[in-house]
Amino acid sequence: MASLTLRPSAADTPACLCLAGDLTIFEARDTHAALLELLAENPGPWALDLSALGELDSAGLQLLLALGKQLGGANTPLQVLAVSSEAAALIELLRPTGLLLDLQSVCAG
Amino acid sequence: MLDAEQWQQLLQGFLEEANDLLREAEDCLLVLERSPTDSEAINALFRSVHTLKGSAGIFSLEPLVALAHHLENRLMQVRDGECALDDALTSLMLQCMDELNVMVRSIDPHTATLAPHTPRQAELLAALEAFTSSAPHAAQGPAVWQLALRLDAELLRNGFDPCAFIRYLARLGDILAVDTLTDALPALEQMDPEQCYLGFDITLSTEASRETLEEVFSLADGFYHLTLTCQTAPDDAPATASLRPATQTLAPTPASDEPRVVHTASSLVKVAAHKLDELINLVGELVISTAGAHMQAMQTGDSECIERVQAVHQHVEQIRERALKLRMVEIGETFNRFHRVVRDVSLTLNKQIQLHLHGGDTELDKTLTDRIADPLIHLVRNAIDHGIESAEERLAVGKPAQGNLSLSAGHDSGMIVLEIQDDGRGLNTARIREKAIARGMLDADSLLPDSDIHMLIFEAGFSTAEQVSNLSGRGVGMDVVRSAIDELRGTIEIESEPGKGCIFRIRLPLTLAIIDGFLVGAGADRFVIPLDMVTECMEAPATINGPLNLRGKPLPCIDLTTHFALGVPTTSRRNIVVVSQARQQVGLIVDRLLGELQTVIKPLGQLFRHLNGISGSTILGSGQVALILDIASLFRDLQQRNDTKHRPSAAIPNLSGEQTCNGSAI
Repeated sequence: MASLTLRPSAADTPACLCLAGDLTIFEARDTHAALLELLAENPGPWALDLSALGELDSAGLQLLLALGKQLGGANTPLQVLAVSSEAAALIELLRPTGLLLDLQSVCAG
Repeated sequence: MLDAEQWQQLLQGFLEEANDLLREAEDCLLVLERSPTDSEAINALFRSVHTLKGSAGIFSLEPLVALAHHLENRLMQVRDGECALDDALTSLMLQCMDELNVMVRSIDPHTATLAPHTPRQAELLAALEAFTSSAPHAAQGPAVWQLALRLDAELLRNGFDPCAFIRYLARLGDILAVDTLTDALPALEQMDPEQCYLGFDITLSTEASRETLEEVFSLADGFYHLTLTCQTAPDDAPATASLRPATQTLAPTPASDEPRVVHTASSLVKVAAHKLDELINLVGELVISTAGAHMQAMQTGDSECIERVQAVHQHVEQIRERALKLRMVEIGETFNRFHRVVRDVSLTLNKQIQLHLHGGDTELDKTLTDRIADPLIHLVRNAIDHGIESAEERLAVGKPAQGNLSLSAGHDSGMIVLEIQDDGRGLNTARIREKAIARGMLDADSLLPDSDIHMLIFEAGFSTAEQVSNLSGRGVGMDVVRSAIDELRGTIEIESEPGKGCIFRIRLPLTLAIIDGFLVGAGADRFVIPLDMVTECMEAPATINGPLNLRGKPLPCIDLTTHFALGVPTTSRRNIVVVSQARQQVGLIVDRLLGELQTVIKPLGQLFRHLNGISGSTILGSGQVALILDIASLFRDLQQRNDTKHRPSAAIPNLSGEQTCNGSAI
């Protein structure tokens, strides 16, 4: 599964979830369970750091969208601070409204 | 590998299916001619041709596949709005249907071989091809497609990744917009991370065809629902097609408003006609043996037994009714063929004709529907060719330029009545008379009523058409019509009013298998009269001379005992059964009235087939044979005899040997 690390919130920035490794249908179930555990400890708000993310597929993206809905409600997109080029390709293609992609960070990633 | 018999069955199935498909396709084309944007008809038409092509491919019927394929391509363009369906294209497609029909008919039913391409086929193929190049809306530049993709919950678990499809779409053209639908996504805790909750609305600009776009998703068949809408269709009506039934529609979308393609065919079972006949025969035997059991039970007087037998009897009655209904089909299907006939004939003759159909839901026996279709076509062609005048002639006599032709079906005293009515010039009685005299069919000074003169057109070799067209007027046809109707135990009559129009009225028996009958006794024999024809019964006066007076109307009578030479009447108190057919009435004098019964018509053997006045036989519960009276032929007989006492020369079967003594048979 993708490894999850939650960086605690600093002064002005929300807590940041770093996802590393692949997030596909094969990792979805375990990642889902891990996310629920983390949420129990820290209910948000979170931002995402996807810069270390490997393969991302529909199931993985769906999980991220569900997480975003959980954290901010349907109308508040989940902020993505950094993104790997592979994940960026998919997010660029589908442009889901639930994820707010900072174009600067894409370039950086 | 299939063995020879299986293969033969497969081929037989294909031939039947092909005929159905072609008929469906033709109906769709005619619907489209009237409303060219009916997307359901276009889809149905496309499906028919596509299925035909596929099935023909199995038997390697190369020429058929080729023509169907080209036709399919053209239809595809029509469906995608790349090509308009105008009159010329409809006509061309109808010609192709005809050619396909010819091909299907010419397939050897044993070897499944078809003659190679004929010049006619090449001509049609070229014509179809030519339409492509001259098509006003031929594919030019990319079109913008709206794809509404709804996914099944099980899609991801089955190894499909919708993103992969969308990535592929991006290679076919430019994705202008993607809307990832997350409405169906539940709260994180409730979510099954391996289930698919997403849906996509994609706007794609591409030169790819609808088929190519559908192909993209075909791998995940059954796990998605796709609605394709072309936004740059040439006319305002968007070419929308609902492609696959949704196994689960995620995220509520307006998809449900769209017309769903309904497959009614899947609720039908095809059964070979001979199997039905066997069933109905058996049911007939069952009716007879139940009647026997019932009688036996009555004789024993055991009330328990009688009750049981009566219950069985009731069920048998129900089975009988249902079994008979299996053979009944609506005449509407036959009627629908006439749209095509009328269209073609009126185009050839350059007449404007409006066809009206009534009573298409009237049911009659399948055998009858099949056998009456050709005579009807003859009559319709005749009505258009001879009956309805040209537009100029019509306007000159103050009629609307468009002629009206109506076909109707209905029930009347146990018969099916089919009417072909036109508002043309009516029959030219004087001309028919002249012609008949010229041909030696009629004496120059004979005085026939108009109605009898009209019936002369049914004589062999009779035609009054001034000019022989390639449709009618060759003098073949009308006599064929008459004999076909006679064979079905039907009658035909003509009602013509000069300048106003003409009605051909055909009466046919409802079914050829089982009837509700009225059992009577004459001498030692039993006769069954079709119950629908019986209007009343009354006591006969002691002596009868000439017609009786029935409430002020003359009632001609036939004494069954003397008519069939059955010896002396067995009783002095006799009865009259009044039967009617087509506004005529006649009284049948019988010895005894024995009540109603349901009876299975058993055809008479070859020897007795031509007996006048008898249409069949049946076996009573007692085992005795009863003859079924053919009322129509008794009427004809009566007219011919014209009140002279004359016995028919045909032999009468002697049935007295089989008689058992039982007064209350049923």
